[in-house]
Amino acid sequence: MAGTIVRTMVVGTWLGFTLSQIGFSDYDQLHLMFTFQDMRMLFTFVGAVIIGSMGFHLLAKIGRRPKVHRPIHKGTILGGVFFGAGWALSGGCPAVPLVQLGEGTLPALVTAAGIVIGVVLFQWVQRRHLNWDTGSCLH
Amino acid sequence: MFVEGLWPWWLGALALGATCFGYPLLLGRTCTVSGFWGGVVNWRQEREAARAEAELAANPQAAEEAMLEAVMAELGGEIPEEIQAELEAMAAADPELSTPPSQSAPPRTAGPWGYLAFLVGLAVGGFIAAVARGEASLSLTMSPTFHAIFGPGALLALAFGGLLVGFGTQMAGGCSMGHGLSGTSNLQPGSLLSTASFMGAAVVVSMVLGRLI
Repeated sequence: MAGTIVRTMVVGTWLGFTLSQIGFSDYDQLHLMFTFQDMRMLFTFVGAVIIGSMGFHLLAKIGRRPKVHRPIHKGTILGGVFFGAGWALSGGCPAVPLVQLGEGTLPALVTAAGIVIGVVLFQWVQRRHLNWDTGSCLH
Repeated sequence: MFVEGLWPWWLGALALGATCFGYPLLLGRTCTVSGFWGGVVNWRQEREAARAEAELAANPQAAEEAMLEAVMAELGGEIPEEIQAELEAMAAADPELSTPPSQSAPPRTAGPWGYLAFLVGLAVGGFIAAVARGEASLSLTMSPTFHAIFGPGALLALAFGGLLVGFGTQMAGGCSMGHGLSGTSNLQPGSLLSTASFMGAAVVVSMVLGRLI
């Protein structure tokens, strides 16, 4: 258990460092990417997907490929649109506000609080009204 | 295409791609970020789930035995002959049914403390990177373009944007990590569609915001 927590934190630290070095935590860089004024981070993203697929092939070869099952469901498009709009507004894909806090950017606390409220709000709406099978982000 | 102090695109791609398959190599499941937010918010529920999974991992036969016991009790202690024959035929036809799957690595559940550790790690990583670039300092503002767009509404944009991010990622069942990287590099249909949706929406909203400058 403790070993798992340490491993998880190591990957989190690595990801935070990586996102910061890419410029993902910088709203200006993000805005340049989404308006196609600078293709650098778009290339990074596409390159990462290609390297990721190669990595998953290797994992399959050594018998360590995890189960991945992400079918289309009712929330796939609408949830994506909400997320994309929020990302363009706040600059915060869910990892970014924490990376920004580490960099010393204090307003990111507001983004992080917004995310927590959004998560709670969806879970409430889900329980009360929707009961969609959206799959968990965790699995 | 090149920004002083930041990594060139290919180095970023290598590092991000490595995270995408390094996490499953170390922990036996795909990486997610929005899932960790959900897991921390649902602390108590996730703690119970992690506990149950740990028990199952310690004794993988327990669940099977419990299920068999329940079925046996219902049938009055004996498996009827025709069902027994059918089960044997099924096992003979599909060897996977009788042997445990060896393809996937044993998943390690970090539990809510692990999810929190990951999120704290993100901040630690951001801090290390900022120190390495010589940019670590407390700041009450975001980057210049952000304030040029939102002016006095900056905090409101962060709060509302964050809310949409939290709400949307939970509804879609993933974010730019879980869907955008882990899912797309495994060609998962839900991830491909969700990634197209959030990238499309982000482009449209950014184009509109760009006109406000």
